[in-house]
Amino acid sequence: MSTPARSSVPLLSEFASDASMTSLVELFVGEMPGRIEALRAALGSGSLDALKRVAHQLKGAAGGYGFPTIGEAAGKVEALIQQSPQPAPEDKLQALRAQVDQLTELCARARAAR
Amino acid sequence: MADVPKTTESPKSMLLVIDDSPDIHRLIRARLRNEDLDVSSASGGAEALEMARKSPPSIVLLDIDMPGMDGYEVLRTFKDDKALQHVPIIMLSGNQNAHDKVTAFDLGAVDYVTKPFDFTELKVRIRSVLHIQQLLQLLSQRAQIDGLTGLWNRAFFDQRWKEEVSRAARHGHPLAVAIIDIDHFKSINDSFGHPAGDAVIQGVSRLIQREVRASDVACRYGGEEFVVIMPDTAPGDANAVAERIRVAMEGIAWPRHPERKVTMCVGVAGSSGATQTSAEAWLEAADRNLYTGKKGGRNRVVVSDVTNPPQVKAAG
Repeated sequence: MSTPARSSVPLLSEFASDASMTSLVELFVGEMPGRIEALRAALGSGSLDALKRVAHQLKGAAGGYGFPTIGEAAGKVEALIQQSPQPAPEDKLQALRAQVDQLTELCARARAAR
Repeated sequence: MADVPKTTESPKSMLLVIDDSPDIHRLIRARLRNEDLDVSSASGGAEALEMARKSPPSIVLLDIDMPGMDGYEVLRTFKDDKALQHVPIIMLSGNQNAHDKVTAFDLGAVDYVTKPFDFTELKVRIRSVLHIQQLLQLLSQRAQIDGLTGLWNRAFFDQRWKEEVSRAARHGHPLAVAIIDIDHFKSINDSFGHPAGDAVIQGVSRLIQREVRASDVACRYGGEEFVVIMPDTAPGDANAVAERIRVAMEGIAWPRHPERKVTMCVGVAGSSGATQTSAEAWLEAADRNLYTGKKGGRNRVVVSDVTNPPQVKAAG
């Protein structure tokens, strides 16, 4: 009941029909499980620096692979960490968890092509 | 053909991407595939500097936000390094804020591009930077070329002569220099006008270019004086080259004044091996020989040997 089928709705790269980009985007998508794992691990262990680094890289690169929404979501994670005092108070952490969830959910749906 | 200024060729430009994200490396490589560029990439400042020092890139794309050495620090290091300070650097950043851009330009970056990139924009920015760089190179080369003759100019000679002397000293190689001066040049100007004088200077420089060897460096020293650097050439061989130029000069018929032959004197100073003679003293020796030739009746070559090996301590 609480597990919507949303994560199975594919998020297609804007370059899905660009044959010259396919293998590159596939490589990027293939690395998504590792990124999701890194995001969750960093959040779980409270290492906000590591979390910020992964988010920063996604913010810079995802748009280039045809996933601007992932880039934007990653930018929000980075911004939340930058704006939060250290150590982060509970309310900030909650907002951060929600934003990381949203980011990983998008990452999980990323697809190179139909 | 002698070593004379060449028109700039454009071999493939090398682009170095410095970014901590391998995703960015791959993306840039793929998107610039059809540009005439050799793309290489580094994940951090230290690695990038090592690569750049080994073979300086034509252009750098540099990420600002990197762990360890950040982009500004890498930029500073490039600008402080004599061999790398002229490499144009475009900053890459996820940040839109004006302060970061101003800092980048203040530190010597030529452009600033924000992520995520529009690759069409990135391409035209890279092209534009490379184009300006090429013009700058041309300009600095122009500053070393004599306008009237197309030979290397005095500034180029001064630099190159010092380098050749120290190279010859280091390896104990032969080296020679010839100073060439047109006889009675002032009277050509006075009798036939300055255009005729210019024509003689241009004619002499063409003749010098034709008669010297490929490894010789021909320069206009100023006025009616020319210098030729002859690397790996002992005094005897330098004398033969100078003599060939002098004889060729005698044979020229000048369209503006066929009745008036033009001759030259050449002062040559050379070393057949290791020598401690300084660049200045060496050139003065050639100049004294030139003067001797003038006093001796003109139209002649005077040579001297400046070989002066360093003292070797006797063993034991």
